[in-house]
Amino acid sequence: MKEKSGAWSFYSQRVKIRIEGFRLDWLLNQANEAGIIIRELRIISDTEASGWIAAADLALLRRLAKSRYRITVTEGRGPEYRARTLLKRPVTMAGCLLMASIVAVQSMFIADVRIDGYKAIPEDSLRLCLEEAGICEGVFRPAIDWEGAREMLRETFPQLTWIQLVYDGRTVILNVNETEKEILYAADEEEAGCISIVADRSGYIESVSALRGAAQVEPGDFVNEGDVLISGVVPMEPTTFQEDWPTEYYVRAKGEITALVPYRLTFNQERYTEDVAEEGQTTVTDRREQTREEAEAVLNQQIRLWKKENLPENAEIVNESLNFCYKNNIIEIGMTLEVRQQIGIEKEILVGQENSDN
Amino acid sequence: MKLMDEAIYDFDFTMPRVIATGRLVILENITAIVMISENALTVSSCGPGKGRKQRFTTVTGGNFIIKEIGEGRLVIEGKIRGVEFLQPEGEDTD
Repeated sequence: MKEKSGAWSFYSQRVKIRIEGFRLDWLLNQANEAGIIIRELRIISDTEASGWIAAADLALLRRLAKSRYRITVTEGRGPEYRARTLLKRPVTMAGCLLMASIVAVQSMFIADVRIDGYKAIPEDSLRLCLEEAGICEGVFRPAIDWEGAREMLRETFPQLTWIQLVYDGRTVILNVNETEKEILYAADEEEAGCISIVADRSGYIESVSALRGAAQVEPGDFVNEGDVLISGVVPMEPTTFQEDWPTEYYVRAKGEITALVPYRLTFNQERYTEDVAEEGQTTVTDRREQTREEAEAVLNQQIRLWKKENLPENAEIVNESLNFCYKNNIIEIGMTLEVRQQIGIEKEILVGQENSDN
Repeated sequence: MKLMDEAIYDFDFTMPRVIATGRLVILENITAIVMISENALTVSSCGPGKGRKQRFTTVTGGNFIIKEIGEGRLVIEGKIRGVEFLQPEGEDTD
């Protein structure tokens, strides 16, 4: 059986002793024969010396010394001795525990999110997606749904062919790999192609939600009819050093754009109305001017009819202003409507090479 | 020194061997500490031959710190004044 190393025992727990007595050489020889390691033995005088021994050997040395020598422990080193010293100092121990707990708790929070391997997808988009999945700096790590985050990345960026989402200490590492083929999204295979969404009406953009493609407008922008709202041509920002990497890729743009569209309408109504009353056998017709309330009631009917014919179902009239203008026999009602509605129609883009002979 | 002689001296475990530098003395092939005092430290080692007679080596100086004892080896640090080899009377000097 392999014997326990004396050196290891020495470093695990050791004490400094002072030996007093005549013939120190005799004790040192005895200790040497017994296998007791004495280190840093300082000869103080002919009858006094001090040195370090393993704490486990102290009892044996005392047995060897008997009553001929006086052995006093003056100092101790090693984990056990440190722990005992620490236990005698509760404030220090509390401080150490506090520090240890702070470090332990801190290690449970994410300090950094590192993203690598992306080519066409901007890093900001990946970072935003991770944030939506609940992974960002300062998040409690055990509360993260890793599989959910991976799933969200796959759903948001179908061009990702490989995703590695892991953590190392306080750092979350996201490594991705994108497909190198052109990405054409389609409801079915026959509809594959590059499509952008353009405005079918002029108006002020209220919200843009680009599910696929690159949004070209922001809320608050004014767009004219025909302007591209979500482009099917997505620029690429390659992070690799490949020379022949394409600068853009093509998708079927998809998204919802809500805008406030102004409408200016003019309705005409009869200015005068005839009230027919029967008095006995005589019919009396009274011609009088329409009241404002009567005109507005008719106007509401006209608006409803117009809305049914011209506006989509989900449109909502946000604001309206009326201007009554009385002209001879008619009332001309000028109306300005502000309608919240979705604008945007798909428009196919022909993808080809410029100056191509084919 | 011839190579053979050098090898013999290197593997001779009976004679005391001393390596001394300015503040350090390493004594090898020792069997026991004979005497310790404030200014001198004497060790013994077995001599060659059948009788295996003792030989003594004394290191003189002061402020001695015995860094290591064991396996026939003694490492002394401190102010070194001299190293002396002693043997009982009537024996040949090496």
